[in-house]
Amino acid sequence: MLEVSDLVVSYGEAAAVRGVSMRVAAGTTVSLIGSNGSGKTTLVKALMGLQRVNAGTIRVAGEDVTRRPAADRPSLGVAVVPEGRRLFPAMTVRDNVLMGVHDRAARRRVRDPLARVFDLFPVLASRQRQLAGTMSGGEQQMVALGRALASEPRLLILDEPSLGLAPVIVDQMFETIGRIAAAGVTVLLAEQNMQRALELSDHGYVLADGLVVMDAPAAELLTSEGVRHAYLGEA
Amino acid sequence: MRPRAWIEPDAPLLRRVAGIVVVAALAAVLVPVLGSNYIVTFSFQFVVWVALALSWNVFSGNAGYPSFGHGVFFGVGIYATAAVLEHTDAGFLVAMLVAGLAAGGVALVVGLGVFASPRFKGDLFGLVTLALAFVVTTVVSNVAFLDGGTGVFVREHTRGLWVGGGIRHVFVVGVALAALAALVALATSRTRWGTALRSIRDEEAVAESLGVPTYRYKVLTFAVSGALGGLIGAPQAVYLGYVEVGAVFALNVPLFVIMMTILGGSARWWGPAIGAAAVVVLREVLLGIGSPELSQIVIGVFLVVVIAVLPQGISGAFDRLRQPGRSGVRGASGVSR
Repeated sequence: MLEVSDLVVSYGEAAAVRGVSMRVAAGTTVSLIGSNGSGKTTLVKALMGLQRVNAGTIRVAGEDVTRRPAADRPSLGVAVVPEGRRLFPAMTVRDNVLMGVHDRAARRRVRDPLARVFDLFPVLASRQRQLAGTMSGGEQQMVALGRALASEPRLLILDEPSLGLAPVIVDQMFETIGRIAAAGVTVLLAEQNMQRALELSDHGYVLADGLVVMDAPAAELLTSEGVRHAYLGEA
Repeated sequence: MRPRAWIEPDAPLLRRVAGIVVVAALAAVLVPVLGSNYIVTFSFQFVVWVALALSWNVFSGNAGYPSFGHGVFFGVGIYATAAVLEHTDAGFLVAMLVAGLAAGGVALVVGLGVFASPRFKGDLFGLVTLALAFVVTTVVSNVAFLDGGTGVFVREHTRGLWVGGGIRHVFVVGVALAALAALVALATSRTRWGTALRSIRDEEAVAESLGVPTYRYKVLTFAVSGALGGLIGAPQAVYLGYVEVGAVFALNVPLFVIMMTILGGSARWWGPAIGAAAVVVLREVLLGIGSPELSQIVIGVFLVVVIAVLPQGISGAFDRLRQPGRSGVRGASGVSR
């Protein structure tokens, strides 16, 4: 579904992503693990088309999208939950979700985006008219997920979905992501919370200093003490 | 339920369109017939400011790109009208069309350049539009065809025309253009176009990744906003009778327009019109008392007080009065704003 080859992204002189290759097969869930400054967010931005790529290619379902503008992603079936949610705070919940099907192709493809999203998050149905900016962090994350899922994406990219959420909400969040993956959506999960992310995943990539330093089935990474010590600084 | 179409043809929308048309038509008939010269002149100035504030908000308010260039578009419209009337016999309607196209064209060219770089956001965008005012002023005062530093006596060229038949005729044109600006403003509040603009204001990068072609939206909407500003310059040129660069391109136009929008609030499409009404009426009342300086000070203080007390402006306060609490139901269609 997603294929990244030798990707290089630089800010001026400094390369934030220094030649990353990775694959996310259709129907699988893949984790991208890495601490702050590992190049994870830059890589996600590049996948979204929001960051200029210096070298390498990004393919979605075989199609080269490296130089395609961000606005083309929805028509390729790619949706993103950005880091920090980044909702439209002055819009209602309903309008935020509908922004997920702003794209013409997405609108044609999806018959009833609101019903789908409210089916997944019933609590949002009763709060359609609330301004997104006035909701709690957990609720906002639901809206962000709903906005991304409204277009029925083939590939869902989540950037730090657990960031800034209360532990109990984090549990719900990962449980929801698991359900989405079980429904057949291909998921790329960029997370610092490696334990939780890998538990959900088929495969994991560990990113450090702009490079993939480890690449293995998730179960293997979970039991690897080396990963924790060397790249995440965990005890 | 289908996702919303480009325009949601719901009953409230049609009612609002009809409301704008009826109010404008009534004003176009009643004010010239019943009003004194003073009332009609005042009403003309009023509708000009309403049209300017509404058209500024179409782009700058909705998309969150405050522009100091609206006086340029207004001025380009004024000068385009003067030039067409001076050099051709094409008549006022053609002059007005040229005014709109010229101002829209300037906005289009500026937009194509400025929005190509993501750097020109917020303050920098404001500065660029401010610089535009100086560039255009210099060009107009040095091109003899337009002005050449001597000003243009528009009055000499409107004598035989319908629009030259007095302030009542000019007012009718002004009211029609204010109604046009109101219809466009209404459209931005209730279509995917408007939602896209507000998504640009709130989270431009996310909007882009959701499939909003932000560059195209910004360029085209800026051009529409500029064209509306230029159109209203046409009756203004006739009203002024004599146009000269210093007065036409004075910075008080963009500053007043921004002030009116802040006062009225851009939470609702009609907010800027309310702000324009508040400023124009207040200024007139204070001028009646006899001191232009006093009127400036009072308007300034009034603005500060409104910002402090009503951060969402007058229209935002109206919203809160009507629906205490934030999750109130808003119309059958459920479209916000």
